[in-house]
Amino acid sequence: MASVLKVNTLTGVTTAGSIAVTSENNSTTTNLQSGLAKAHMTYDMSGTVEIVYGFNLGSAVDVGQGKFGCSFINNMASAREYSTAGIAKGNAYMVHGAAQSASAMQLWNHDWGGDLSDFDLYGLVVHGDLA
Amino acid sequence: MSTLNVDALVGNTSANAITVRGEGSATTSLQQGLLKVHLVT
Repeated sequence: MASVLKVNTLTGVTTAGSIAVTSENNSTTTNLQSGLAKAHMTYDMSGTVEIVYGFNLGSAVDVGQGKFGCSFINNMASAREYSTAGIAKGNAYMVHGAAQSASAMQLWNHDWGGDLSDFDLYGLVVHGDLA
Repeated sequence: MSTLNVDALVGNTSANAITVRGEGSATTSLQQGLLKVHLVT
């Protein structure tokens, strides 16, 4: 018989920020909190820099040609405890900029020639620990 | 240690909104954080 739990908030009992979930193989477990993306967004740098759609990301900042900055709404644990994966429209790729902290990050966006460029659509996801 | 056996999770106030306590003191959203698609080609 299927069971459905209606709940607004999930909190670990032993450790508030740690809930184990049985994995697809029915034996090992994984961690709910660690497995959740903590932020994601699409952004546009073709004109005025803007976040088109975002989760847990605040204001967008144009830091220069191809350089996009944004802040977290709920900060990450530290500058070294999160990572991003992203994709760009067309012939472009992105890397982390120099200014990464627990509260904000920069994405530097290059064309395949290596030059910093402003394209009209990028997407990225952030994994790591929240503060 | 406590274990809850359940087949589905639904928000109580809003069906599509469940808050999860993060690693620290902040909270995040279960629905927003879940990967929606993945594949191996």
